[in-house]
Amino acid sequence: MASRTNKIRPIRKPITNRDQSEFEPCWALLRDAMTDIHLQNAGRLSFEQLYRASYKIVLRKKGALLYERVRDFEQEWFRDHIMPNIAALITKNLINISLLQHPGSSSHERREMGEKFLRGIRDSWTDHNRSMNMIADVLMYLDRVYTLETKQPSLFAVTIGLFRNNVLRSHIGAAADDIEQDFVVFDILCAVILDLINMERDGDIINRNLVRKITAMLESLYETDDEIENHRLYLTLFEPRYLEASTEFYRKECEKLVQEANCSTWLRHAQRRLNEERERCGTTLSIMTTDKIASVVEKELIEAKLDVFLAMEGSGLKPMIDNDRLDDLSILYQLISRVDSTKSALKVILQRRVRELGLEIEKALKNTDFSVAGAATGDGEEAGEAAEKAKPQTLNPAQQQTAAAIKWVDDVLQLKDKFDRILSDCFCDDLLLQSAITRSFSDFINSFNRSSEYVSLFIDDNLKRGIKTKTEAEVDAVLDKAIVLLRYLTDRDMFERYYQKHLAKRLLHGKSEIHTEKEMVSRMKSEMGNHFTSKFEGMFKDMELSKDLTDNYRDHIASLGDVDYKMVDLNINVLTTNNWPPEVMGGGTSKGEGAKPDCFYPPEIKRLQESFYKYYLKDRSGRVLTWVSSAGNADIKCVFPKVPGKETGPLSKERRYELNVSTYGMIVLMLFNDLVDGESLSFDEIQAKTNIPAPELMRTLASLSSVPKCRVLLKEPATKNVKNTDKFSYNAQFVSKAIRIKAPVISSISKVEGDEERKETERKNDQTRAHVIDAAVVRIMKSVILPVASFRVG
Amino acid sequence: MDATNGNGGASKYITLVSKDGFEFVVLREATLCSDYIRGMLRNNMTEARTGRCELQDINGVILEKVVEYFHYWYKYRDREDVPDMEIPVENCLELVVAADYLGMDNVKNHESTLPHLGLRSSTCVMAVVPRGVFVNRTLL
Repeated sequence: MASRTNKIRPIRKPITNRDQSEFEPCWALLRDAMTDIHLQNAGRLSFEQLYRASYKIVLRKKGALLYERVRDFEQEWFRDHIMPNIAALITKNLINISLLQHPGSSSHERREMGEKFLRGIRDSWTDHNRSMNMIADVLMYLDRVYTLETKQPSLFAVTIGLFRNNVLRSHIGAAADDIEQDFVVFDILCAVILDLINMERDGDIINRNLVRKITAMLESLYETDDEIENHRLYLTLFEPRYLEASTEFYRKECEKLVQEANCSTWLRHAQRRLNEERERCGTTLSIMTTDKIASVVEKELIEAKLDVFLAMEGSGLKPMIDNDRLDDLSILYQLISRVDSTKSALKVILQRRVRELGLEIEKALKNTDFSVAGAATGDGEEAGEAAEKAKPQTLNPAQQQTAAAIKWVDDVLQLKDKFDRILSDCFCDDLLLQSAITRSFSDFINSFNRSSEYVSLFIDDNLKRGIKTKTEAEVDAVLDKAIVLLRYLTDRDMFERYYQKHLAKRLLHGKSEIHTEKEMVSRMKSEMGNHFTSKFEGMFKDMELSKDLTDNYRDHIASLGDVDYKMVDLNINVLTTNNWPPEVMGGGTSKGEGAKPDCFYPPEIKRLQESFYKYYLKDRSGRVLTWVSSAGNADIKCVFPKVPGKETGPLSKERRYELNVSTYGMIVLMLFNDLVDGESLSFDEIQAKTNIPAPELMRTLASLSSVPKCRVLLKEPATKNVKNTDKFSYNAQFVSKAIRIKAPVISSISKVEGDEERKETERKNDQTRAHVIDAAVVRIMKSVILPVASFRVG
Repeated sequence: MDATNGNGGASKYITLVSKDGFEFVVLREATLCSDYIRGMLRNNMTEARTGRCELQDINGVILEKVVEYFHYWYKYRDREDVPDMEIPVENCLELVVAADYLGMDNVKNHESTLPHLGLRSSTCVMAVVPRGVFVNRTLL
């Protein structure tokens, strides 16, 4: 003390009593207090007094002695006061039922007995736990100083562990002499809990709180006094048994379900079980088990018989898809994504179903074709029916086929909608499944060899007819759908070819709105890239330039002040050869390709052409303009004079009509201008005078002579089909309600190609492809650096 | 098991009484930095019921300082920059013994960062000297 500075005062009242015998009175005090604590009599004790007693003992370095005494005291207490109670709980009946599973007891009985036993254990534990906590607090100083320094387990750990050693691990004694196996109390405890849980699984109500108390006890007890985190009794002893028992339970349940239930029941059952088990971990057991038990259920109840359930007749995955059982599907998805992150089982069946449904569409299409159009329509791809195709019926097979194409597209879109809905409603837009479905769609769409043409026809049909009556949103939807289908197509060059053809017809005949067309093409552009749409855009550009050109030409004519030319108004479309389909450029049918003598235009038209040609070349020297007579049309103002002899009715006065016909039609009608009334021209004469190719002429004459609403020509004989020997004359008695009449231009109807056309298209496509392949080969060969020698050899 | 468990009358304050009869009324929560008082309050013994604790080994001067520290700890328990607490040098030995008795070194059990450190500057004895050795040598 002397060495310290004066400023620090020494402790005023050091504990001067050095009498070592002070230990015993202190211990006596503590011992009595512990008895009181056990008897729940602690209210009258003074914490300060007890604490100070243990403090003094520790300061006197008697900690070790105190530690031992306390431990011994607790052991004695246990032996004398607690074990008898526990032993009383373990009746022979309990052992028989819980461990040996003797039959003949109702679940009610078992539950009562089990719960009684658990309650007994719980009560002892609660008492013990409370007392030990109190004693540990009183002896805090001992733990803080003595046990810490000597690195022994804390007094609390040791005393609380007594419960484990003396109760849970005690052997079943007198009550079970006749059992050979060596059971401990924990075995009973465990068996009772598992039995209770199985009862709950079967629908009984059990005392969850009680079970939770017991599992909480197991959680707070450890294998040894060192209290290593992973050695909680709950984890080392109870949980494995629980999982094992659950595995057993669910295996049996699953087998039963396979026998008795259908897929839908199974799905709901499994889902319910999963929820139950999760809930059970929260309320009855421990949340530490949540994931483990979930995986047991997943493995035993879901995974084990997954394939069997999915393949079930009438309730498996296939009927689910077919009947749009969205609830079932979403449960199924949730369950499967738990057990298998690749969802292969689901994926495989889904893909197969998509393909099957796709093929069904194709098949249905063929059947519909026959039923509507009789035997004659024929599906072009069936070789056997090609012969029937040769003799077309009056039902107009082309239109039938177009309708078929649209039906196909509609059906495919419907299927797509269906799976999209399933995907978004049930499968959480799962990417794996999405790509699987997409793949299957593209598989079956591409296996159908007319898909490119059909898709283009579908767009054609919608742009031509539908759009006018639809709102912008609907138009958008249609375009989107078309793009969706486009995405699936692999023969994009084929599609490009068809689309080009259809687009050309729409543009030249002004059948669609230009801004919708552009919208469509711009969508394709963002989907397929610039290259794909360059031709289409070129076509739009041609149309625009032509419009300007027409205007300028008109101004030019007006400035010339030449009155004569005003009689014919010219709308010109100058088309760049590369951008437009050869069918249009070549002048009509696919057969008419190559150098073909142009038809003879009437002099009025001839003059007009020359005038325009001159005007055009003024700014653009060196270009060649070819007139495509097959693609144009003309408005003709016709005057039908009063028919003599008729005093009443429409025929009694002069009738003026505006007739819209194709260029050929115009040429033909102009011929009749020069004709005297009553004279007629034969087919051959007309052909000689006009030089229109025979098939075209046939069509033109048919439209002018057989369609009632524009029958301006009379045919001899008056049959529907035009033959080479027919004669035509001017129909002076023509009457129509409308002033403007549009003669149906047969070539403008987009239709499915016939077999020959089709082959032709394919051949051309193959040619183009061959060029592309050649170019690619050359490119690759150039980039490969070969040794000179082998290059020569090659 | 927290301090509210089984206390007689859920008063927010408890009374600490020194050996020489001084009484200090302390915010209950502030005393929780002492393991001793925590333990005392959570067991249903006399002190917990009455909210009054007679500390028979600690005199008034020292207990006053201890109580000051309780409040100091309570005030700064959630703060980052904690000012030093004034510790009279002449009392530091006795304070160390009292702190040891009251179990105030084990702050890791409490939810706060330690503003324990009032005792740091002038009396680093507390933190540095192993308790058992020091206390025993001094006292015995």
